[in-house]
Amino acid sequence: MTMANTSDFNTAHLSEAALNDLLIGLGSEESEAHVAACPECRSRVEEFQSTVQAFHTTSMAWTQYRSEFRATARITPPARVKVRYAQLGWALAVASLLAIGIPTWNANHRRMENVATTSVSAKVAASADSEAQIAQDNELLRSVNLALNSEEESPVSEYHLLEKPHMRGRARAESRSNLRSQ
Amino acid sequence: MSACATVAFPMSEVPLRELESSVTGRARPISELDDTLNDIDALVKTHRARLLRFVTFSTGDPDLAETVAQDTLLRAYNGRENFRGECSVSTWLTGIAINVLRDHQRTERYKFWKRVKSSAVDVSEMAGFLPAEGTSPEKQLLAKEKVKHLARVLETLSPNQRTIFLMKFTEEMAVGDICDALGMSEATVRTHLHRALTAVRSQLGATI
Repeated sequence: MTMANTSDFNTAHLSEAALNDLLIGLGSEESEAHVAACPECRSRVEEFQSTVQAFHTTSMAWTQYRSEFRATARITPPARVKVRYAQLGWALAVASLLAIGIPTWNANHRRMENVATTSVSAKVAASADSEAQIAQDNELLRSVNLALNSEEESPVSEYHLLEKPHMRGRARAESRSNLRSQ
Repeated sequence: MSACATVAFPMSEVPLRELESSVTGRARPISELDDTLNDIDALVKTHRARLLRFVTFSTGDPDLAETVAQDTLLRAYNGRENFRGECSVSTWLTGIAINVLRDHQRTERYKFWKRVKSSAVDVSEMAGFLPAEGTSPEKQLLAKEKVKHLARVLETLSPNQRTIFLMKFTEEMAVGDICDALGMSEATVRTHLHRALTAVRSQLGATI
């Protein structure tokens, strides 16, 4: 065993070689006794062992995961089966497309026909409405004409709009004097 | 030295079949030794992750590790009659993995891909798999940093030092079994281990 001073554990610790031997599992009994009694050397041994143990556990968990992940990935069906699945998928896609597309196209076609029929009837109805409307309008105008006072003078004749300009001023003055006298 | 330790010559010169059956004594029926060897699924389930870890950190190449682990398990299953039970199945598989890895590294294809691509271990991703085990978040964070640090330090070691360090401390193999698997003398293995330990401990910090 290589130790600087075996009599005093506080000042002399295991040499690097002795410590390495101990970690490898080939340490002498003297080294083991020293480690059991020396907290500092024991701490060095335990620190190394805990680090290696953490690496051991972690790396194993990691490779276990990778191993299982790859194994799962390899269970996927072979290429020929994949092609069959692909063909089946395409067939299903086309069938569902047809199943959805044909009724939709039919429905659209029928709707377009309905729209065309409806628009013609609407036009006819619109024309009927317009004739009735014209008749109604005429009736309204007629009633307006009747309601108008026939005695009231038209603004055209009142202001002599159809006469020559130099006659307008005189006519306007006359109508004003008439209004004042009233 | 373990029961498996019977040879001590360069591994590269040892034919695989000889290595895999390089044990003395009477062969026992495979069924008496380990049932997992007779079932390829059980063999893969039990040993694949461990092999994957060893080769991944030994080479630093996760893609190569996949191939090597697969080839190792296949070779082990095909040559299961050569396993005589002088060492554990794990140790036997690690020895085969070392040979498979050397076979791969000798090929021109490997040399080509080694030049053109770099597939490194994602240390941060790996550290994320640290089990919580009821520790405080601070301790968990500290432990993750230590794991990442150790993984990075391992990358700085020489291939022999790294492989031997992993065999000893993560595969928990006896020094004698490491000697067998690598075809090295015990003195050589111990020297590599000492150098690896000194480098790891000095880089991890003065407290270790």
